[in-house]
Amino acid sequence: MLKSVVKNLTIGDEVVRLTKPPISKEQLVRYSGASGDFNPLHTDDETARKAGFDGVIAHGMLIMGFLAEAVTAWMPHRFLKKINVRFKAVTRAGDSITVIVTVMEIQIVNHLGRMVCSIQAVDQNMQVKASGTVEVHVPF
Amino acid sequence: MADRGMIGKTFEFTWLIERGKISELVGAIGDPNPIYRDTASARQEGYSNIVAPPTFSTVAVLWTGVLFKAFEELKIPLNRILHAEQSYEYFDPIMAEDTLRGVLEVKSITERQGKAGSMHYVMLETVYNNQYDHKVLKENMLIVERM
Repeated sequence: MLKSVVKNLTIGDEVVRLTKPPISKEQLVRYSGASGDFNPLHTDDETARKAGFDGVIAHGMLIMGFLAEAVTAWMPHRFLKKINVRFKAVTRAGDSITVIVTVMEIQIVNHLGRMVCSIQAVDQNMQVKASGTVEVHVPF
Repeated sequence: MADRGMIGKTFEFTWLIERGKISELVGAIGDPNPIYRDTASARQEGYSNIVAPPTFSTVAVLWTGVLFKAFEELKIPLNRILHAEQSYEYFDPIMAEDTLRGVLEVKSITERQGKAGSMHYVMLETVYNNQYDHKVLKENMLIVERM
């Protein structure tokens, strides 16, 4: 079934668009505890203001978690081979992130469909917060 | 300022993967995929146990403290750090109850001039093997130290 999904794809196809609920301060506290990144920039408004931000900012790795969630909602986790992300802008509490995954390359060799897709995390104003690529190998 | 004499320095650590840490991370992200929470769903997808999500290994470098130890030895103050890039390359699945053995290496330290002055780019690479000595993952973290 995945074989036909891959064979019907064209370069430039948008394969995933996932909009996450707005990031809450509670979520940032939870992500700090889950990940072990207790930098107070993510949980304490005063620390964040002293560092020149309007208030607490999200962990870059939380945004990368959204990117990975979107990719693995489309293709099974075990087909994921590589994911590369560059963090471009800070994300604030209250921002709502949308992940967009677009096909850039497709190669079908023997029993393997190899795809490279661009991945982008944008906010409600379409500002790019993080972008990169993901490589997925689909066995046929 | 990052100490260039640290290039090539390695830090070893081990990390037993608890299913509770997996569910905390996917809960914080809001990723509803059942293979991270439910053994039967993971088995249906061909795994022998609950699966670690794609960004999970970064929890290991943070919670074991190895990343902070590296920054301390590199003489990089935590309040000057920006996370610029992150990448993962997957070789084999990582699951709950696996024991990962990680080796974090300082791969490169380069200086670039930015708008805000001089900045140091520090590339940290971590390779993970599991308890069967299979290489499961390679992780690269590019850190910027603002001067």
